[in-house]
Parts: sequence; structure tokens; C-alpha cells
Amino acid sequence: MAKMIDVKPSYKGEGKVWDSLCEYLSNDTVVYNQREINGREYDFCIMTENRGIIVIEVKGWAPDKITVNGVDNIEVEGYDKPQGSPKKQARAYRFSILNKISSMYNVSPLVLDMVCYPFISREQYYETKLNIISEEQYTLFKEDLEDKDILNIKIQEVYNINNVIPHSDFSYDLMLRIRRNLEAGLKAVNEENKVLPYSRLLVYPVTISKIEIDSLIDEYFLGVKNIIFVNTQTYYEEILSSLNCALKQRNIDYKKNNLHIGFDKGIPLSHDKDCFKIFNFELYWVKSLESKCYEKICINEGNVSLAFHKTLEVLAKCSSFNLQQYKVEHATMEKDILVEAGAGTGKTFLMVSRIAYLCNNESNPISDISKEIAMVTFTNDAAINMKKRLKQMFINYFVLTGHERFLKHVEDIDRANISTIHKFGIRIMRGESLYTGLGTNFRISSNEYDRGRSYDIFLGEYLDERERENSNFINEFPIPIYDLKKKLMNVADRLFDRSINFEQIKVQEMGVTVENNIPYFNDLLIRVVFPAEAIYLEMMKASNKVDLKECLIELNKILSMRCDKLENLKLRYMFIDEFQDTDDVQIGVFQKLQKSINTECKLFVVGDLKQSIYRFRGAKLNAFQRLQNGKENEWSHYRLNRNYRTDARLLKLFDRIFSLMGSRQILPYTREDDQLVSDVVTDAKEDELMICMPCHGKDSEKILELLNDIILSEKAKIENLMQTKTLSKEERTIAILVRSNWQVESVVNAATKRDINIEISTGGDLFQLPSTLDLYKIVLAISHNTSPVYLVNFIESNYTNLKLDYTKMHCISEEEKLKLLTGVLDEFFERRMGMSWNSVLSEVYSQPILYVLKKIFDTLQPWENYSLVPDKQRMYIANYEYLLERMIKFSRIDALTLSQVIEYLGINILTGQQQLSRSTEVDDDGVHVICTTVHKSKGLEYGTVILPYTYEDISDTKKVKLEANYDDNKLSYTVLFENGIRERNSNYSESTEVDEQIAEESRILYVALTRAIRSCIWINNLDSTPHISWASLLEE
Amino acid sequence: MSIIIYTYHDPYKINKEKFWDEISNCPYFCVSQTLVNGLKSIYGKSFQIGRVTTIKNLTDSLYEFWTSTSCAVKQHADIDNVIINSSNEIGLTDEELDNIRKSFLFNRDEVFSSIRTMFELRMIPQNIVDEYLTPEQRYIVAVFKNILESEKEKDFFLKENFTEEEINIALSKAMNNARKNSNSEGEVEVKDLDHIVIQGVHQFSPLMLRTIEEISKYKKVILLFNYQEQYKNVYQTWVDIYSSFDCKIIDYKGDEFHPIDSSSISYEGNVLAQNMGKLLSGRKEDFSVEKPYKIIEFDNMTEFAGYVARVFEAAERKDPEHPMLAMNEQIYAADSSANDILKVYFPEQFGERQFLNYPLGHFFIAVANMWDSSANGTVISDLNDIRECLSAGILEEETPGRLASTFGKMEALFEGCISVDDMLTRIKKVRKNRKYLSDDKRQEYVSHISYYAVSLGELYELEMALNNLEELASFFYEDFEKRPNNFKAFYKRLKKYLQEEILEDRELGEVFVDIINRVLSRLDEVENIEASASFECLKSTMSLYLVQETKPGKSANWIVRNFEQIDGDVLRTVKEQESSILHFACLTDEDINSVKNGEFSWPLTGEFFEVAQNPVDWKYQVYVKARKEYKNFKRYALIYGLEFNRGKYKLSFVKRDGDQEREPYYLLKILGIKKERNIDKRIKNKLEDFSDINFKVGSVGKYTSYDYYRYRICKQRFLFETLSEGNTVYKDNFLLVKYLEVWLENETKESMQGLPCSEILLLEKLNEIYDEIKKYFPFVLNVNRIDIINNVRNRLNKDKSFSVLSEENRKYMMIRELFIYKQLKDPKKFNQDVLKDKFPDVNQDKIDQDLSVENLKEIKFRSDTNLWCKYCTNREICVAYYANIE
Repeated sequence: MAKMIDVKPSYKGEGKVWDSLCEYLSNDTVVYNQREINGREYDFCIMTENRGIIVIEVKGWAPDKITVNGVDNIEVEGYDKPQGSPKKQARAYRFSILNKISSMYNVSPLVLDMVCYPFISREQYYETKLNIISEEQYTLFKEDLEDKDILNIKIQEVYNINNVIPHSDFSYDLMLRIRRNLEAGLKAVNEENKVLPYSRLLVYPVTISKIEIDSLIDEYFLGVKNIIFVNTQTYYEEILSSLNCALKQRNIDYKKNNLHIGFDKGIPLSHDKDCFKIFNFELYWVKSLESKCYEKICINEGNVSLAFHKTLEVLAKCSSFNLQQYKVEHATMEKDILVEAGAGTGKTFLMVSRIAYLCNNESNPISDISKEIAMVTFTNDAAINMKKRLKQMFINYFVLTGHERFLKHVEDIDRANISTIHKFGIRIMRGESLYTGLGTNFRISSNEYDRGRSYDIFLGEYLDERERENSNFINEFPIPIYDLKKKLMNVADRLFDRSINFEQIKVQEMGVTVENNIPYFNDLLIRVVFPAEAIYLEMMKASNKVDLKECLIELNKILSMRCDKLENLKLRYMFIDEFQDTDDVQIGVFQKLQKSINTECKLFVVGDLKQSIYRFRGAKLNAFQRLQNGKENEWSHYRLNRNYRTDARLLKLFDRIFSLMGSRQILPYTREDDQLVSDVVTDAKEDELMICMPCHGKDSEKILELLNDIILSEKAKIENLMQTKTLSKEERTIAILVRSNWQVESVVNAATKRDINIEISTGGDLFQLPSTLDLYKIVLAISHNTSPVYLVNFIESNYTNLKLDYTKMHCISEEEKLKLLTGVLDEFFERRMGMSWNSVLSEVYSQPILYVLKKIFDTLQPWENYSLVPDKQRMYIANYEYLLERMIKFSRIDALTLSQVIEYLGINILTGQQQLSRSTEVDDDGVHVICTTVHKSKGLEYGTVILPYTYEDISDTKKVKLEANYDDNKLSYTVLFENGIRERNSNYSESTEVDEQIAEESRILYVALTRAIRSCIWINNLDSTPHISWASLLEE
Repeated sequence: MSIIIYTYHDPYKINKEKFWDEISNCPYFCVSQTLVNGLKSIYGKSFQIGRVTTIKNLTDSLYEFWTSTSCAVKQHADIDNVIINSSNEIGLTDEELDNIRKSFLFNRDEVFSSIRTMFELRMIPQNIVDEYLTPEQRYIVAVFKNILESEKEKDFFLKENFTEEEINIALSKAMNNARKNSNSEGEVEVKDLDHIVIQGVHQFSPLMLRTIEEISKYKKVILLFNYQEQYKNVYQTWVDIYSSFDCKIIDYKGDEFHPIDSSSISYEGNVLAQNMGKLLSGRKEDFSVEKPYKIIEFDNMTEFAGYVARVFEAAERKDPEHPMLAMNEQIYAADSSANDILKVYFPEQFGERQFLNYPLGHFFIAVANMWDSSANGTVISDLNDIRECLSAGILEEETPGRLASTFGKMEALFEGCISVDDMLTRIKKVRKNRKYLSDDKRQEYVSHISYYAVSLGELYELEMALNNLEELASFFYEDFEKRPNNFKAFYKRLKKYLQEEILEDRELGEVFVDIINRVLSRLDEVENIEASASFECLKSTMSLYLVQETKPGKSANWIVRNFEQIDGDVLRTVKEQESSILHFACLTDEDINSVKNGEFSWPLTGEFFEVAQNPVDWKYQVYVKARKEYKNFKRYALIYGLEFNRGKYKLSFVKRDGDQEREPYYLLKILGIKKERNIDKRIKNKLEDFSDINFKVGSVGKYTSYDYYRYRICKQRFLFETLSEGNTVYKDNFLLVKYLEVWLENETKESMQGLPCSEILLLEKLNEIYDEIKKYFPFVLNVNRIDIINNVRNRLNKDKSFSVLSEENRKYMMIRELFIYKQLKDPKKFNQDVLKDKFPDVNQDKIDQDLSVENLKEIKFRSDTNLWCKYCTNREICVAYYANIE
């Protein structure tokens, strides 16, 4: 008897078929009827293990009531219109089912289609000419339904005919997965079958048998994650050696945590370890385990009972098993999840494991990562890293199991929404043209020039109007107008940094001016800033562009206005990393998104308030509350404190500092919640962990001198250490962490004088790099080819190595100068490129510009003039090419022109645009010294951290030249103009500002310190003792 | 008749298959020209050129009108018109409708191909279930319906129900055209016209499927594809697509290929293919990797394109006539966008050349950009359009680029101009002012303004050019939207212009003449299109018209080929084993899984076909399946290529794309792969020493104290201002406004000497002088005036009376004239004056000594960046200042 999943249909014909299938088909067959696929109902679908699927279209026609006029023209009594081919209909279902299976499981089993006429015999089928619609072998007749053998043979036959080419096996596993999708309660019914869980945690307090070992290793290679505790070294080694054999047999080996093909050395037998971890396999040897646990424990998929929970806590204390991570990894899929993860507690690993769980759990796994999961990271690098890790995870699964569905996951990762919030937002916007009015291919671009022009218009109008009212208005004007325009634009920028939509700011929320130097400042905002930005936005949109800073505002508008359902988003889980750095608008976007998504979507949020260091971009300490919006009880809340980075002793020292900061309420830190613990032990001596270097630093040179001494001695220490031990690149790195870019510059300059090489990660300097400037100079020379100064400028660039006697140009006419210069260039180009300068120009004005530029770049090889250092040459080339790619994207490649190149470079260089450049990372196995800002060091780690500038007064807010914010329906601002005049409004509170700033600086210090692996050194300037500084916090 | 599907196992042994007799004498259509060539090289004579050709040739000849350019242009215009005039039939708000219209016009090309697909698939609007559609899809269905119900339908006519006669004609036309294009002589003679073979198609287009359907009514259509059971997961993609046809797949079990001969040159690559195949079937126990496979790492696409360019250039040297064939490695890229770059480097080699790639083409785009159809005249919204027109080599100039260069010198003058007329007026003003300048001091003042430093000849040339430009723009576009059949009229005029004014009138280089000739022959083809549409539509379809005709005999040649072309080229390797290298490039996950390309053109989606349509017709099913399977195609092609390659092989990938970083393709990574950086081959070349190149003649003159000051401030400034320009020349609007302020202040001081200071008097004077000299700065705005007058007033208002100007005062004024400021306070350094010791009193001896030829020879003219850069005339040229600001 077949398994009939659905109720018997009420139609007579279908009912008859149902009865026959039920009675005559074997019990490994599952039958569904009247199920919906792609919005339409099929009649029957038969699944047979190890064979495949057949869809049957039933037509309960009576033989005397039909006339077949053509394949798609069957007159049937009782129907107004002629009926189409039932075979084609069946094929359509077959097609839908196959596509669904292959999109979900990445396999194509045999799916076939048949037609069934329960009231028509074979003879009548020929008589009525139904044979033109379906072949006999694909058709079930009245008599077929009445005989068990005939029915079964006919169905077998259909499979046989089509099995000429082998399809994917319709295995037990695959069928089960498909069935789970179709039958909600299947899990319970199916308990007797062997269904493998995502993970098993096993504790063997006494013994473990060979059979048990073999079985858990077999399961491991079927994809089950194993966490095993044993009580003796013998068992520990026995399991490892079995695992090793299994790896060898399957030709798999591992490197660090990851698996690859080709068995080489396998697992080394070392007798002094008590834990072994590779991908999905953790083995712990816990001494006197039997005293901690009395019976064998087996926990599937993290379903820990209360009784076992205690035991696990004990085990976690006496081993490196991370219970906190385990719990989050297996946390319920029904709730939103918030994880407060301290510095270095393995956030990325956690998120990767969580996704592994979501994709592999028994009950409701994810089948398409690209559609069902989104992950928002703080930086582009983090997104790249996350994708890499996720791919590697699924590759590991694939290497272990050989299942195609893991390959599908690998492929889906590239399509998945794993990106920064801006890119994520842009991607959503691309799908919502109904609301954006943009093409799906809109460009992200900015045009500060047009924006400025838009300001000019409104500012001009405003001033004219005021002047008409009061002719002396302009003469009384206290500040230069160009500075006013600049500052107005800066105020707008500050608000954009926090994704504030100007449309929402109401007049009554703007406060009143306090200094009254420019009492009409609010007027200026309303009459100039708001409309100018609106016009600029319109202008951009009209040419299918959006300014990056407007993206989230636009998205927010879309989400809050009308978009109650986003057609294209079917996410089930949304991961957000570094949540403490999101601003209110972004939080709003997440909340609205969660509602607009077409399915129930759960959040997985990771963050650490202590590391909230982006206040200037609108990050606030109430981010978590704001997100939970009073519904904290609907969330699962976790903390991670086990640190994998820093020396345990150093962490203890930090704890003292942080606790004090916590008690002063300048850091959100309490010992019981936030203290980090680790098993990391480094070679640092006790007194090397945290060092204060005092210095009389009235003259900042002194501090830098001392810094250089420290660097040299630390370097020597590490080099010494490296003689006996292999250190990772991070461990070999000394990082000098500072607050601002100018400090980086001073540090580097001072070090250069002592021949110390310091690497800097400036990052956003593409438009300041020599490769960019040189290119600009050559295109300028080409386009200003009759101006001697442009030609000289080019000759002086890295494109040539000419050394000219320019004094010969003194006191001659411009025409003669031009002649001299052209002569020299002719000779140079002739010898280098085999063509004169004039021919180069000729080519420029008749050939595609890139063609000419490439020729010049390749033959003149400017990188050779730029530097002799190979790495610098590589950087030069890589960034030149990166620049070209960006320009191509700015325009269309084939439409790129000389003037566009000039315009693009001009705007970006002359307005000092920040754009990440490409670095060629090299690891030469030596000690690295880097200097960077704390903000850029976030998420990274270094052997030694040095803080040279700790003496600045962190309560000093006078340095704030311009600030603007819109918070709690209040617009606040303070603006200091070039000539020293200041204006601010009543919503801007200086005392709150001081407190906020101290707290922010404290958190920055927290981030700086927690970067250290082995030791931390800070310089204490004895000549500067402000009220509160990093030094004073560290000293306490 | 019918359709039947056969598989073959080893492409080198198709002639051993049972169906060989059925396929060896009939018309034979392959997925690509490379497959045609490959088969020919293996099976020789029996695969006569013409009898064997591409399926594109067949569809083109069967659906001649549909595949023509004129049809495409006409349809573009129709679709544009429907969108622009569409009313709200689908229940959107006005704003939504407006948005959707805009987005459809921005996505013109995709909408165009979607609409065509709908016609090609004979979609019936009544069968589309509305509730499953997105608003964008509802809208495109409405557009589709709108066309069907209007007379525009005739522009979308696709022939159906061909007679056997018509089919035969199309077949022989396709074959004979192929023969002609390959320069072979004689007609094709085919014995067997009852069978038609189609080999190797993975991506079936709706048009191909219609072709197959139509032909199968009269003939037996045989579809052939390669299948190897031992790699069933790799080949599943083919099985999936071909099982969507409503017919049998026949697989005569036969010889499969296994690499066994480890001495053969291709062995390593063949084993790699085998390993990947095994891996995909979950087998890994039985293979070993002896040494890691190597993969070349290119930093970015441009670097990769550069590598290819070098291979190509070497081939060009070897065989200038057939460089493609002479390439010592054939390159196949999973992401063929390298060709976009290469097309620019080697336009000659690409069959289709865009006229618009060349400066000449940009001219027309820029003119169109400037044309405001509502005002029926030119409007400058972006001065770059003017620059573009001047840089195109179309407007008359003495030497190439001179117009652009003159424009560069005068750019500041044109700030704020909104029409060509505005520009001409300002030029006129400059000429007039120059003419009437007699005052020496004024002359000197004016000499610091860039646009007054232009020669009269240059001015005249620019004026002429602008006038011509204006005339041309009107000639092309005046009353465009009012004219009936405006497209035709426009292109007629364009043709006339190119023919008469450019081709016949100028002495042009060979390349240029060739470009224009090919545009002209293209224009011949599209000349008779009867289409009218908006000016915007004209702008956006111009590129369609202005593709040049392919040179005969040179079909689309791709220097970097795509993976579709592997199957044929592989077959050629058997003959030239030693010398041939197949280079598989862009092997990253993103490229192989083709993340970049959507499956369907917007706004169509899988759901649109599968849910809203319920595709009952097999053609739908094959089409949809093929699109969905595209992501598996490249994986297959890579393995196939490696497996059947008989020569050497190379693997490479491109590491960075924008801000994304990629890793090699994961299947390769699992097998262990070693990266080699290509960039390392490019660096560390010693450049030839050119110290012997120098000025042959020259003069020596005295330097003034101001030259000396420049020298003290910044060596590069000295080089630029004193040596190169011989003067201080303000070039950009910011500095010109500052300079105007200085000039105003200096003249005021001059004329107020000795007078008592009264604010009213001062203001009066300031306004008076300002009004007088602002004519030299026609771009200044009222807000500039406010700042200028306020600044000067604040400075001069301090004393009780105006002093009589002393030598010292005059020196100060001169310094301001040349350097804008004499003092600059650095807020970062306790307001220290950074110019404090830069303007000492010096005598000529000191100057001569410090600026002696010997001294100047020794120094390097490096820039010294500081606050003063902000007011340096050449700051935007030397740009050192911008590279150092935080």
C-alpha cells in the first residue's frame, strides 16, 4: 500500500485513481494529490525511493463525450471552451517540480509525467484519437487502474524508458528532504528513521566502545558536527587514530581548521594535548570526567536539558569548550537574537557556525542562502572576509560529504546579500524602481560641483531678498559669504553622516540661535540648505544617479511611505555585525525591513557597546534598546566573554582599568558582565605586559624620540622570540595606535629620521597617490598642449626621466618656449615610443583615449621612475589600473573621453575625495611596525600595542568647529566660522557634549587596548596633566 | 517530421557514432564559428564550409527582418513612444506611474530585449496571471498589449508557418552566405536536405527554438550534444535542458575518454579535468595530486587585458594578416569583459566597431546633450560638452588639440555661461577690452588673467569653431520633434554631413576615413526606417545606428574568447599540440557562477515565466531551463576544455574587481593550487637614460626680486611662473575673484592717496572702481561682489586717512598682485606667518648669485607645499597641495 499523504479527492475520476494508487502501489511509494505548485494544482504526484517522481494529470472524461480536433483542441461536453492537451499540462507540472528541486537541492532526479483517463479504455483511446495527445506508454487507462501488476509494470516502464541517461539518484536522503518540505509534521512521524542531526555533543564519562567510535566518525563524514568529551588519554588517542584512518581512507587532510583533498601527514600524535579541533570536530580529554558527569550524555542540535546544562557549564570551565558560542550557535530559530560579544571573542566564527546550523538543522534548513540570508557588515573588508569564511565552511562540508547541495551553498554565497549596509540598501533600491523612479542600473556618484551650484542659486536669492529689505544688510554681514556657503554645506554633510532626512525637520524643532551673530541661521537652513539639497537630489535622479550619502535616506523613505511588502526580498534571517555603530536611521531601516520582507524574518545582531566609537556618524549607546523597542522579552540575549586573542594576564590588568572606568560611568562596563577571560598565554614576562613609559614631553620631539626607542627595543624582543618560536603575522606586528591622521604623519616622519620603516594603512588615498597625480598631469598636458607650463608639469612627472635645463626658457616668448618644449618631447617620444609628441596628440584626438593612455603607460613605465622598490612599483601599477577601472565605471568604457578623464580626476583630486586605494599585502616573515588610527584598527590584533599620545584633554570640546545633529526631534548645531565668529542653537548643549566626548574617548581607549595580544606600552607625558586624559585613566 | 536528440561521447570520434551517416551530408549548424572551424579541422573535407555553419546564420536568414538593425531601431522607437504615452492601466498612483516610466526609459535596452522575447515566445497576454506579477511586470505586459493592439504590431511581425519551399530557401541562403563570408568560391551543394543538424547549443534562444520548430515540420531535426556518463554531474546541465524538449534522447553507449597516456603533453590538464569531474561526483579517494596546479594571478582586469594585449601584439608581428590565428595562446575567459577593454586597445580586431568609441562619435553625443528640444536650441548645462565638441577633430583647427587647449586657457571666462551665444558674447568682450586697453598699468593687471593671455589667432579660431558648432547643432536638431519621420531625416542629414563636409572636405588619415566609410554604409542600411520618436529616444538609440558595418570576412573576432567558444577551439589543438596553449582565464567563483548576469532581462524573472505563465509549450520550458542552467555551463565548459585539449594549458584568475577581492575557483582550490603573480613580470625594468635630451637653444635673462621670491617660496613655483610662463597668470575662478579683490584694493589705494578716510566715501569709490573693472571678470556674481567689497573695506577702513603711496607700499601692492597675500597665518602653528621671511629686500647681485645658471642646474624643482599653495596660480596643475591636505 502506498503512503497517501493527502485526502481522497471528491471528483469521481480522481477518487478512482486515488483508490488504485493507494491499493496497488508499494509501500516505498509516497503519493500527493492536488498540491499547489507555482500557483496551480496538479492531480497526482508519485515519489518512489531510488526511482524518481511521476506527475499524473487525470481527466475523468467519458469516451462518448469528447471529440479530439487537435492536440490543444479537445471538445468536452459540459465545457464552454475546447480543452488543451493534458499531456502538456502534465509536462508543465513536471517542469515546475524539477526546477524547484534543482533550485533547492542542486540535483536533477528523474521527474516524469503521465496522463490518466480513468473512464477510458485503451481501445477507446485509439478510437477517440486521444493517441495524438499522449503516447500509449505515458497514458494510464481504465483497465490499468484495475490491475495491480499492469499498473506497476506500466509505471516501471516509464522510468525505464527514461533512464537511458542516468539522473541524480533519488536517494532516501533527497526524498526525505523533499518530503519534509511538503509534509509539516514529517519529523515526528519519521522518528524511527535515521535522521542525522546538525550536531552531536557526546560525553563519555567512563568508556567508549569501538563501535561507538566508528559510528561517530562515520556520522562525521556524513556531515554531523561532533563535540566529544572523553575521560582518558587512551580513548582520546583511540578516537584520533580512528579519525586519522578515516581521513586517510577518504584522501582528506587538514590545515589549521580547514579540510582539503589529498592525504599527507594526517593527525600528528602528540601526547601533551588535551583537546583536538578541526572543522566540525572537537575532542576534549577531561581528567576525572566521571566525577563531573555520571552518565553518558548525547545532545543533538543543542537541545540541552536543564539537567545537562549544569554539567556542560562544568565541562566548559575545565576545558576550552566554549559553551557560550555553542548556545548561540544552536539558539532557537523562532526568536530574534542579540549577542553582546566582547573584543576578540570570535564573532566571525560564531556567525559562520550559526549559518552552518541554519543551513543544516533537521527541522527547517535554509536551501538558498542568496535569498534567505542577509548579512550586514561594518566594512567592505569584513564582508569579503565573511564570504571567504562561509565559502570555506561549505567547502569543508563538501570535502567531508561529497554532497552537491553544499556546492550550491558555495555558489550562493557570491550572490548573497553579504555587504555593508550601504551596498545592501542600494541592492534593495535596485529592485524597487516603482518607488525610486530610477533604472535598475542607476549609478552611485556624487557631484560636489553641481551641489555647490545649487547652493549658489538659493543663497544668492536669499541674500538678494534680504538686501532688498535692508540695503545695508550686506555691509553688516559678519562673515565672508563663501565661508558661509562652505559651512552650510558642512552642516548638511554632518546631518547626512547620520542619514538625516531634511524633509522631516520641522521649524519648531530647530531651536533658536544663541550667539546671535547670525540670527537668521535657521532661515538659511530652511531657505538655502534644504531646497538646495532637494534640487541636487532631483538633478542626480534625472540622470539615473544617486549620491551615496542619500541612499539610506531614500531607502528609508521608500520603506516608510508605501513599500509594505518588498517583492524581491524573501529573507528568513538578517545578520547585523558591529551593531553598536549603527545610527538611528539605520536601525529604523532594519526594523522596517523586517516588517516589509515577504516572510517572517529573524534578526541576529552582534555588537559591543564598549566598542561604540562612531558617535560622529550617529552611533548611540541606546542602539540595542532602540532596536528591541520595548520588546526585550521577545528576544534571546547572549553574551560572549571568552577571548581568543589576548594574554590572560594582560586581560586581568585591563579589567582593573575598565572596571574603574565603569564605576565612573564613562564606560558601559561591569566586571560580572563584561570581564574578558582567555586561555591565551604568551611569552611576555609579567612586567612586560603593560608598561608605562614616562617622558618630559613639553617638546613633542621628545615623545617621538622615546617612541622610536621603544619600537627598536620591542622589535629586538620579537626577533629574539622568533628564533625559538613561529609567530603569526599579527603576533609579529607592533602597532602604534593614535587618534588622528596628522599624528600618524608625525610618527612616520620621526621614525624615518631614525631609519625605522613604519607601514601605514591610510586607505582612502587613491586620489592622492602619485600614480593618480601623474596620470592627471599627462592628460592635462595633452589637453593644454599649447601651454608651456602644462608641458613642463608633465615632464616633471614620473612619466619621463628627462632632466632639462629650464633656465634656457627664461625671457623668451611663449611661442618659442612651446617650440623648445615640443622639440624635447618629440625627441623623447620618438626614442621611447617611436612616434613624435605631435603624433601622440593626433592619436589622442582621433582614437579612443584609453587606447592612447595604455600605450603611453606601457611604454613610458612611470613606475620605474617613481621608485626602485618592487612593492612600491606594484602599488603604483595596481592603483593606476584600479583608477582606470573606476573611471570606466564612472562613464561607459567605450564612451570614455579625454575630457571625462580630466573631469573625473580633477573633481576627485581637487576636492580631496577619499577613496580606498589598493594595497599589495606582503608578508616577509619579519617584524612589522605599523602606525594607524584606533578607528582603523578596529577588528584587528597586534602582538604589541603602543599608545604614544595619551596626554590630550579628552574633555576639551572647544576644538569642535562644527557639529550638527538631529536627535529626538531636535536639530542642534554649532558652527565656527573662519574669522572666529561662532553660531550655535539652543538645542546644542555644551555640558552634555563634554560628557559624551569623555565617554566616547573612553570607549576608543577600550578598543585600542583590547587590540593587544602580548603587551601594551603607553607613553606618559609628565609635562601635561589635563583634568582627564587617556593617561589619567590608565594611571588609575 | 520530427526532432531527435543524439549524444556523442568523444568529439574526436563523432564519425564512429552510429548516426554518422545521418549527419554527414545534410545542413549542419553549430553553436559557434569556433565549433565550425574545429569540426572542419578534424573531419576535413566531409565538413565543407557552408554546409557547416553557425546556427546564427540560420536564424538570421529565416528571420531576416526581425534580426535586422532597422527592425531593432524601429522597435526601440515604438517602445519608447508607448512608454511615454502610456496611461495608467494597471492601477498605479500617478507618482508610481511616473517612476515606472522613468525607470523603463533608463532601462531601455533591457526592456527592449524583454519585449522582443515576449514576441518571440508568442506570449498571450490573456494567459498571464496578473496576481503573480510585480508592478514592473504588470507594466511591461501592458506595454506589450498596447503594441499588440495598435498598428505598431506590424513592426513586431515575426513570420510563422513557413512553407517547405521557404525553409529550403532560408537553408541554402544561410549556407551560401557562410561560404561567401569565408571567401570560398562556388555554391554549397548538399545531398541530404531531409536532415538538419544542430550541434552544441546550450543556451537556446526563443528564436532558435522557433527555428527548430518550424523546420521540424518538414525535416528531421537532429540535436547533438556531448555527453560523458562518467562525469554525470557535470553533464547534468545538458541533460536537463535537452530533456525539456518533447522528444527522446538517444545515447549509444560508446567510448569515453580517460586520460591514461602520461607522456602526452596535455596529460596534466586532462587529469585535472578528470579530478574535477570525480570531485563533483563526490569521489576523492582515488586521485592524487602530484604537484600543485599553478594559476596565474592578475591583480585586476586591466592587467589581464594588458597581458592579452602583449600576446596579441606578438601575434600581430608574426602574422599581420591573421593575428588571431597566430596567437601562441588562445584565451578563454569566464568573464569576457576583458574584451570591453581590448576593444578599445585594438578596435581593428573587433568585427563590430562603435563609431561612438571615437572622439568623432563623442562629438555627436555632446551636441545631442547640448540640444534642448523644448527650447529648440543649444543649452549648456555642462561645459564639458563644449570641450568634448572641441576635442573631436571635427571643427577646424591649426594643429590637433589646439582648440581644446585654447578652450582650457579660457575656461574661467565661461563660468556660468548657459549657451554658445553667451560664450561668444564673452569672447567678444575680451577682444573689445583688449583693443581699448591703452593704460600700461591696466595692461599689466590684465596680463595676469588667463583668458587675456590668449593670442588673437587662437581667439579667432575658437570663435569660428563655436559659431560652426551652433550652426551644426541647428542643422541636425532644429524642430526635431515637430518633423514627421524625424529619425530618417536626422540620419539623412548626418550622412550628408559626413559625406560632404568631413570625408570630401578634409585631409583625413586612413583610419579615420575607414571609420567614416563604415558608418556611412551602415547609414545606407538604416536610411529607410520610418520612425518618429522623441529626441531622447534618438539620443539613446544613436549608438544602434552608428555601429559600423563589419568588415567583410571578419566576423566578430574576440581576442579573449568566452567559454562558449571552447568546444570548437579545443578540437584544433590536436593538430598543433606542441605549439598551442589554451589559457582558461577569470577562474573565480564569481565569474564561473556568473553572479553578474541575471537569468532574464529586466523586469522578467523566473517567476514571471514559471508562475505567472505556466509554460505549457516546450519552447518556453527549454528556454527557461537553459537560462537557469547558464550558471552550470561554464563549469562544464572548463572541464570539457581541459579534458579534450591536446596541447598545453594555463589557468589564471583576476583577483580584484572594484572593491571586491576574489579567490581562485573553489574546485581548483580544493585540489590545491599555487598562485603566481603576473604583476611581478612587469616591474624592475631599467629604463634607458635620456639625460642627453635637452633644449638645443635658449636665452639667458635677468631675474627680478619677484622671481627671487617665487624661488624662495617654492622651487616648482619658480619653475612654473618665472621660467615656464614668465608671469603670474591666474587661471581658475576662485583665484581670479581673489585677484579682482587685490586689484580693487590696489586701485582704490592708488586713487584715494592722501584723502581722509570716510566710510561713505570709501564705499562709493569701491563701488565705482568695482563697476569699472568687473568687465574684465564677466563671470562674477553678486555674492562675490559682497565678499570682495566687504573684505577690502574692512582692510582699508582701519586708518584715519589714506597714505600717499611709498616705495614700500608699492612693493606690498605688487606682492599682493603676484602672490595675493603677503602674510599667511598658520593656525596649526600658533598663527605663525608662513611667508614671514619670503619677501626680503634684495639687491640684484644677490639675485644673480642665487639664481645663477650653475645654481639652478643643481637644484630639483620640487614643490614645497604649505598654506601658500592655496593662492598659487598653478596649484591645480602641480596638485601637490591636494595630495597633502588632510
